[in-house]
Amino acid sequence: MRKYIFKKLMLSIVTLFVIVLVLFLLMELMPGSPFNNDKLSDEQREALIRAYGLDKPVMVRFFLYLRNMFKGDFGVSYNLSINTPVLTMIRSRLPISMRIGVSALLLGSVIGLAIGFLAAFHQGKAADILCMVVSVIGISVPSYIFAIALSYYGGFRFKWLPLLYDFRNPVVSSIMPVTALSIAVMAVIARFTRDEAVSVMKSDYVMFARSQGLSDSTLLFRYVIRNSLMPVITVMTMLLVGLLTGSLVTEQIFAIPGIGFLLSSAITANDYNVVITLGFLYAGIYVVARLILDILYGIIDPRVRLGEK
Amino acid sequence: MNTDFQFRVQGEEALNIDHSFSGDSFFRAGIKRFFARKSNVFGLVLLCLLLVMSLIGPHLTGYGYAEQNLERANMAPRIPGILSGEESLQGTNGEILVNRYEDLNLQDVYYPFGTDSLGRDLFSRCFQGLRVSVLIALAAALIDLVIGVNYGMISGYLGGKADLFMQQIVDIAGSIPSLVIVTLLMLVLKPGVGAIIFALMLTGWMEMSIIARTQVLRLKDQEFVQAARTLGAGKAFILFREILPNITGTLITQIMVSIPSAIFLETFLSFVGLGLPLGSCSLGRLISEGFENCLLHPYKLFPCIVILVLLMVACNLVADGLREAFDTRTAR
Amino acid sequence: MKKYLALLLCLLILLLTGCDTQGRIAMEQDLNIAVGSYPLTMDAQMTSDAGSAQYLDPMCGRLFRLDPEKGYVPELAESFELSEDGCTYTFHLREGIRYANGEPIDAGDFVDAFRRIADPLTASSAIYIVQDLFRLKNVDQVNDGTMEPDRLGVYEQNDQTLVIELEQPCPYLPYVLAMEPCSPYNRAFAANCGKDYATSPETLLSSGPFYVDRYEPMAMQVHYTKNPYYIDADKVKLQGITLRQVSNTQQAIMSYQAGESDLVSTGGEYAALSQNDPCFLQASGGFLFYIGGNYVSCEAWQNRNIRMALSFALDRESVVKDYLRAGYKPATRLVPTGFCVEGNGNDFAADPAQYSASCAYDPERAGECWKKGLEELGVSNLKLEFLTTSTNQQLMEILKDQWEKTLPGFTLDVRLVSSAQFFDLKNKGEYELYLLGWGADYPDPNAFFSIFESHSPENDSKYANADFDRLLQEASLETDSEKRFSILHQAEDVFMDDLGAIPFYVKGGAFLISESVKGVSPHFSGLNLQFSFAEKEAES
Repeated sequence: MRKYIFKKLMLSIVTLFVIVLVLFLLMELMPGSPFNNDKLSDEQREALIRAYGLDKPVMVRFFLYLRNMFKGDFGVSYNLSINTPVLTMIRSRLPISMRIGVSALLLGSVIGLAIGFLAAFHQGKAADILCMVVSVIGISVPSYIFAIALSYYGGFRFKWLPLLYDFRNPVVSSIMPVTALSIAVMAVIARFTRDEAVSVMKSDYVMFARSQGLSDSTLLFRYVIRNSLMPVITVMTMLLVGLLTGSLVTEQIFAIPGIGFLLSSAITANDYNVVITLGFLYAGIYVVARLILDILYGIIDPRVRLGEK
Repeated sequence: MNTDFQFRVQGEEALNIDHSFSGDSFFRAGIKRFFARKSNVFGLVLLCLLLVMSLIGPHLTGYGYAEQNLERANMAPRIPGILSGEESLQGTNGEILVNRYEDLNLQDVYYPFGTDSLGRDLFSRCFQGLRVSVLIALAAALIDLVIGVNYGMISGYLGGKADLFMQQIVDIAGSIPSLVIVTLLMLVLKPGVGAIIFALMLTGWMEMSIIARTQVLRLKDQEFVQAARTLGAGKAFILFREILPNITGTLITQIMVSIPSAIFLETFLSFVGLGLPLGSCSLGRLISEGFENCLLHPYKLFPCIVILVLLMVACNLVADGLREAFDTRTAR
Repeated sequence: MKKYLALLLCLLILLLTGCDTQGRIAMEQDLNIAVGSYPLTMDAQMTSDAGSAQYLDPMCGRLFRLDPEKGYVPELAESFELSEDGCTYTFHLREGIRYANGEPIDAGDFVDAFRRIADPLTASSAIYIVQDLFRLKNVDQVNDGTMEPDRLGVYEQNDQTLVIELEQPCPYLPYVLAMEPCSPYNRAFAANCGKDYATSPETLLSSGPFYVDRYEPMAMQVHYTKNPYYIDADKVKLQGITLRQVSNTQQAIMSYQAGESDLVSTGGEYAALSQNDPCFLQASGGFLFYIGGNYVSCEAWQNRNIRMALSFALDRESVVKDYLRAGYKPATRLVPTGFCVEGNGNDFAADPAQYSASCAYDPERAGECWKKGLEELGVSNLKLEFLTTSTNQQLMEILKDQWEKTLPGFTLDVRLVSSAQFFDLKNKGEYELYLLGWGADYPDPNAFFSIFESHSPENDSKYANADFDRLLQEASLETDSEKRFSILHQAEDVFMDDLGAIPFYVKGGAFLISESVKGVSPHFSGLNLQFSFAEKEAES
């Protein structure tokens, strides 16, 4: 078991290393320089490039960056927020994005699971068709369309909720963004849960249990839900990363000071350190979530860890 | 027979594919199962209809999709007998009713979906956009297929150390946040259809390879494969003549699933302002243009969203149908 | 299981609706403003963009402050004297001026601010203020490191007296000194904060009517509270201001209509719809967008006939009326109409059609010029690459359509890039044509002329016209206002006759201001509003 965890851990570290390298190289290929303020003179620009050490070869900078990263120094922003340490910029934004992302994930998952199971138990009936319709629409309509519709009806027409995110009442003003983001999650989870539950219900052991005369509700809670939940949780971790990166437009619509907006601005403004740090952060969240899941799987299901050998 | 798939001949005559287990009959049975469900047929018809519209739609109204007429900007939809071209605008001082057709004294002019802010016919644009989006998605899915399927099948079939190594590469590539990479790539490459397809391909092949691999793992120890092996068939023969026909259903399903996600990514890129070059239009660009003032002119956003949803519904229905028809777990 | 589900749902709803009413009340007392951009930095001496200026304005005390009627009024300065040659200004500061932490502001703090801007190690983009807008004595030598910072032409005579020496006269200096980077800089405070200076409310030191009590880098929401130590604190009516970045105009307008924002900027069709409402404020602009070309490498652009043809083929009226809409005006000359008033009270650019010989929509003449131009170049068709940012996509589609329709054999190859890439390519000269906006920093025609002077660092297109340069040089040395303006008129004649760049449109501001808010005035550039001294009536 320890060996298995160690192996997984090493793999995660290699993954993160490769990701930083890829991001670094891509940033190197990016046209344009980070010091693109029109009002800087050429001499100032050169001085800045020297001051930040951008005149050194890529690999030298890469290893310098790695070394600094180990010390917890992710560099400073070059132009989005001049000279501010990237960590300072992220520190205030990440909790907001995380809170909204996780709330959306929870809300969407709870409703999605309910719809998915309902559909699976009533296969081919109205509930199933409803599930299908809801999930297809949820998957095919981009979340910012929901966001704008919500803010129009909920905030503007009926004035139920504040239109814009407001730091003075963060909870109420995040209801609409959370709802808008949760619809896609709900759709995916509902769909996945249904498929998973259907295949569990068709499996031999459930058939057998049913033939033994177990009541439907025992069957449901003992076998179907428990066995179909694990794959659903895997999907959820992937969705979380998707929510953090994909909430960009929604963040702009509700004026939420989150990291999605930071990322898109940093990419178009060539703010190298911000892009690399955020890319690293996203990948980190994903890798850690995967690691935890892998270890959990290893504990629950010995086949997984033995199969790796 | 293609020499690529020539196998080591033990006797004098070539081996025949074992029809009772591999290949065609399974495929035919799947198709039969597929057409047995009404929702599948509906999805397929819808998909075909949309594809046909994407071919003829841009030519129906007589206005080119790129034809500008600034005077006729922001015309509401007008269809003889159904829509009068009137719209109500929400100003700061309440609603105002406007009919731009009457203001401009246009008698026999009909824009069924209205016009955009440059006075271009939205009907032509929507279907032109559909065409471009579908083309992008299909191209991306096909490239996915070629790379992902080969990678996954080889990895799954080889097994052992090679498989482990190849899977770790997939693992690493899969954990790179795709949106970050795609956005960066779009800036690095020259914007255009090629760049979008390339970016889509980079992020799509992993999923395809995982699916191909699991299918191969499932099949490679089955009787018909073992039979072929004992008869002395080479690896390539087994993979492409014995296993591939059996997993075609799953792969087609995966293509249907990846088309919506490709369209989605294209929509996202257009929204961020990266994407297709000037003058071309896609569903993504139409949505982001319609979004600009969708509270004032919801008709600009509505048709392209409906088309997108219909396309997604069709793809999803067909994908579902295919999956159920070809999945051995459910198709018992 | 269902019980758990229900419980979880209840928890979620509780979590989401744990509403606090205090926030609501605070919101109603503050002036709530939605703006389109966020501050790049709150470090005043590091800024050069209009977006950051808006955020800095409430917290920066300056020698002068802009005034809608008088142009400018003294803020921290009491009075000033100007030497005979127009090159030495002596400013007397007011008594009792303080920072928001109670520390006094003295003349040395202004000296420190200018030295910091000029210091090569600071690498501040605000350098153009002391280098180009006015020429501070010895600024070039200090900036390239050949001279010590204390040789800079700014020094304190005593705590109350500040002297600024210029290399040539600058009649509009007080306007430039009203810019945010020219606010005092407390060196001791900044040294105390170290690397974190100006990254949080604790490390920001205000000298203006408000201080910042909520800010984080790249903030989308900044909150200000009235500064009790401000010298004119009795004139400040507001208790607090909230600035929120809402990049989506549609959303901003909805938040205005829902009463969440008191002041938003509007645009496009929304602006056109509310044009006649009392809450609508249109500011005539000092932000000129022009089409420039590369004089170094683009042979076609060097040809005057080609430039003329491009200008005549451009239907500015239609672009503004049907696409850009309210807030914008077609630009048919270098200086926008309604932007600058001469000494005698006349508008410098009273007649927008004065230069119709080069700036008008005339497809016929466009065709003639085009033919002549192509002959001179010895080609039958022409392909030019147009560099611009991806935000201008639709505008470029119009432009391409108009040009290609009117000019036979013309292909416009539009290259859309991110703004970072745009400035990089522009600075490297890798383009043939581009679209550029230039916002005036002071209300004087020179603001637009100086960017086409052959030695100006802003002159990316490398336009060089000896007559134009000579006239500008003459004007800069002329101390008599009337004579100076007549020379500037000649300069504009020369430029427009040569058509050094093609004026396209002028961007102005279009705003919605709640009727309960009084005392808001537009900045002369038309881009921002000045709201620090506004009043907000409590809603009943």
